Amino acid sequence: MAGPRRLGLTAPPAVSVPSGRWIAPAGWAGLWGGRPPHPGLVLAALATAAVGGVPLLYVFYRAATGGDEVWRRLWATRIPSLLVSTLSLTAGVTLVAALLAVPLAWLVARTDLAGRNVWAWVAALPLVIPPYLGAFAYISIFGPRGVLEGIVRRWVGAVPETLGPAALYSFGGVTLVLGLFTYPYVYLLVLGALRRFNVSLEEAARAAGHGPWAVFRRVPLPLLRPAVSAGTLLVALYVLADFGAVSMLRYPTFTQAIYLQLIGRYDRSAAAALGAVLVAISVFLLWAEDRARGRARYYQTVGTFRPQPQVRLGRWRRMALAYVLGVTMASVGVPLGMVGYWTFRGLAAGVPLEPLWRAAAHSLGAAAGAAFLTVALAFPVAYLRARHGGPICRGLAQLAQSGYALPGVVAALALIFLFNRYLPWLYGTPLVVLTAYVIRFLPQALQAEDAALAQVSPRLEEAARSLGLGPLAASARVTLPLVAPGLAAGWSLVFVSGLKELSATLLLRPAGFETLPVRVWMQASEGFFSQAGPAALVLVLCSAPLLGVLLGRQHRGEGHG
Amino acid sequence: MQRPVAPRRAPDRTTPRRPGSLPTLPGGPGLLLFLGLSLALATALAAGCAGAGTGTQGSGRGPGTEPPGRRELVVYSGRKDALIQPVLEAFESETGIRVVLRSGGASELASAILEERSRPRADVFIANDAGTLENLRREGVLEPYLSERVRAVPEDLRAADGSWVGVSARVRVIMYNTTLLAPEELPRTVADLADPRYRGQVAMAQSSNESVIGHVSALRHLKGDAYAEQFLRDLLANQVIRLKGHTQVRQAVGKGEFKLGWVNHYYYFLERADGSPVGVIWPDQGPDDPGAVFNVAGVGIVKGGPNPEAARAFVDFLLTPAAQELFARLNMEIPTLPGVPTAEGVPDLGSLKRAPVPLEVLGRELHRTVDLLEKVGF
Repeated sequence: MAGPRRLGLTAPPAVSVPSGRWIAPAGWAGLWGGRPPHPGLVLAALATAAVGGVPLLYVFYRAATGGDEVWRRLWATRIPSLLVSTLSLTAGVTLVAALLAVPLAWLVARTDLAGRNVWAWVAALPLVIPPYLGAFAYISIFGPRGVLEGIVRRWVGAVPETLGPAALYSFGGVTLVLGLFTYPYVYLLVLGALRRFNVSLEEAARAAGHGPWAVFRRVPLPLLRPAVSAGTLLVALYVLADFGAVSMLRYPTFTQAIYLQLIGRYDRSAAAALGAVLVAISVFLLWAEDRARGRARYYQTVGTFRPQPQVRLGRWRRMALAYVLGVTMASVGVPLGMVGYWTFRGLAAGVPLEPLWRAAAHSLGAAAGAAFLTVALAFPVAYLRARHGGPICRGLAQLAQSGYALPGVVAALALIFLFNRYLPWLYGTPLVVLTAYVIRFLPQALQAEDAALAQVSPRLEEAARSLGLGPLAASARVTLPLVAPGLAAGWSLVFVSGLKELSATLLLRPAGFETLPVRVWMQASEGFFSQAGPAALVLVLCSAPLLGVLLGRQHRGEGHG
Repeated sequence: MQRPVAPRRAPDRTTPRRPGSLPTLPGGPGLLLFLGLSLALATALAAGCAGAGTGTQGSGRGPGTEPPGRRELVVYSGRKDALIQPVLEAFESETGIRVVLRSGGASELASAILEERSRPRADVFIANDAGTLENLRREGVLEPYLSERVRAVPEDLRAADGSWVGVSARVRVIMYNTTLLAPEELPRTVADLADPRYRGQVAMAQSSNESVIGHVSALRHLKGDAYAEQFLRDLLANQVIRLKGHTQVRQAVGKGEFKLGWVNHYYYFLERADGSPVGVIWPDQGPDDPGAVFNVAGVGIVKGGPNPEAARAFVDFLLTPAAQELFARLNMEIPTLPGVPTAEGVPDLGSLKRAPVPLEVLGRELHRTVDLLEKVGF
């Protein structure tokens, strides 16, 4: 068969019964989009949802014990206005992150950008920099009496209003800074999708007589949509839950109100009630993302994979390079420069290094273990959602992701409640910290796996089954290897998030179980930055090479023919 | 020759598939690598856990591989590690009791103690605010202990029943930037901060900060709710800036971003030690003024904790002159045991006029104070 026959992009029918093997009662089948799954898969997904739902149950339990008086009191305060400021920040940061990430991913994946393989790695680096460090770097540059002000004062005189603190602490400034440190969520997922991208689809579209813009609109755009929406969802949920970076940038958000209840008042019921509002917002976002992706499913067969031709940038080459350089300088160069400076001063002052190595071992172990668990737990849910659909899948997926938008402290209290009451022999072990990471970062693995699965056609698995493999063997031998880049992306997301996690770790760690962020926090929260430097640098160095390995293996995956 | 992409609606049954090609699809070897890497790191974690279990602890200590002495004390501490570690080490070497330290935010740990109520894990709790401790006492999770040493602490700096006791006192002060304010321009009282002269020039910590809440509780106790509410409204009208914490406040004042900062006294000393041009005002010391508002970092014994005997020994230890001197030296705080010398430049309990506020008030009034802060819009 020569040549493309027709464009391979169509939405599946709502119910399709591909082979005679799926025979089940209509009602049960209806719940699964017409294709009931293997019961083992359902059990595994249920277990995942149960783990992910712990904070949700806790929040509702605590909120319910507070009674509706709590609600009346809270609603009379500045919570409505905080809600508005939080939602606008979420929207702004999400937009900035997407606008930064998609061109970056496209440039390093598809063009003849100079040094693209190096840039691919550098552009992912902000992921390993905790946003509170990034925020601090920007404050020390653009903030009052900062580096910028010093320079401008020397050469020009007065600092213009539009550059200094007024700009940094404005809505635009906060949005931009947060966007710089959250865009990798979108970037990594889009890059993964671009590299799995089958170029013959574009050729088919061109052969069908479409111009370049129409080709872009009809082929890469819809194929990238799952990755973009999954990535922006992660960014949005992150912004909702963040406390450290946002409050350093003097921007009032909803988490501040939660802290006032919990930290100021010790009122766990009121904090939980506010947490429930955050959960409601995140469930809405998850639902909206689900809707945005719609019923459309886009698959590619990877068997026909061919190397992608590079787009020649021509006279745009320099401009593209300037763009990549500019973004990475702002998101990587600035904070790393500051951390390097701290480290230099800290080492000169003789900061002891021995506790640092122990903290690094704890951090690496906990983050890697949690990433492994999370990827494994997320897979059944992602698989069910991609292959079967229906209300049960959606419910399970939402339950598993509901805790993501909760501040770490609330998730930690939920786990204290659970473990101390029902699993006391495990309380005070690193396993509790691990569980917190799993719960907090389950959506990252889920979104990455979702985006990967969305590109693999179920036809392949059906073909394997028609050749005599059982359903699980077919998944394991066909689908699993194909989505391995997605699993790796999910693993790396959870790993670096776990490495950065602070608020839940602080409360749940066993005595003496110090992680790198805990060490950074202990010094930096009191303003002893040079002592925090070495720990911050090791934190970045621990995750940076891993990012390279994962990006590298995605890269090699593209060469198969 | 290329094969077409199988359209979703019309599966192409004629496309030949080679079963042999399946295992070599992209990702196969990489997957193994990835799984192997994960397992290796998970093993490293297990090793790390084992290490944590044998009693390595807190920063700044050597590898804690001493044989188990069986006697142990679990400390939940909201203080910065460097400020409590030397005290804990002194306690260990004097008593031979092994200290297990869990440090973090004081309020977060207080929430953890409440959440652990059904199965207490901590022996003692160290907090930076009397309100936090008194609130726990009112929740019924602290064990009263009125030893002779506890009684030596002035009554307004501890719980009447000895459920908690202040071990080091801090004064609420006003710090200022000496390059921006001349001596004759300085405020004299906390009430002056609401003076329109200082519009937009005052920084403070945000309202979830326990010291801020404590101070407002003290004002309500001293001058009544109506006064406190009006003062807060005047502060807002005066465009007071609320920053994340006192560290941000002291740095902002040190850099000259704001002329005045409303902080605990040791933040002034920390900023001065960083080389910034700052000065301090010990407020409300005039004959008609109520005196400066105090707060304490204190300790309480957790009811039903695993090692009650060690907990009592620890509380008594913190109130020995030697330990009190450590507090004075480490963080420029004021010892609560009368007669222990303070660090240079720090007034002692006797030389500073102290507002007549029993610190129990800070816990008792906590909720109503937060109500007020919320109502005013802080």
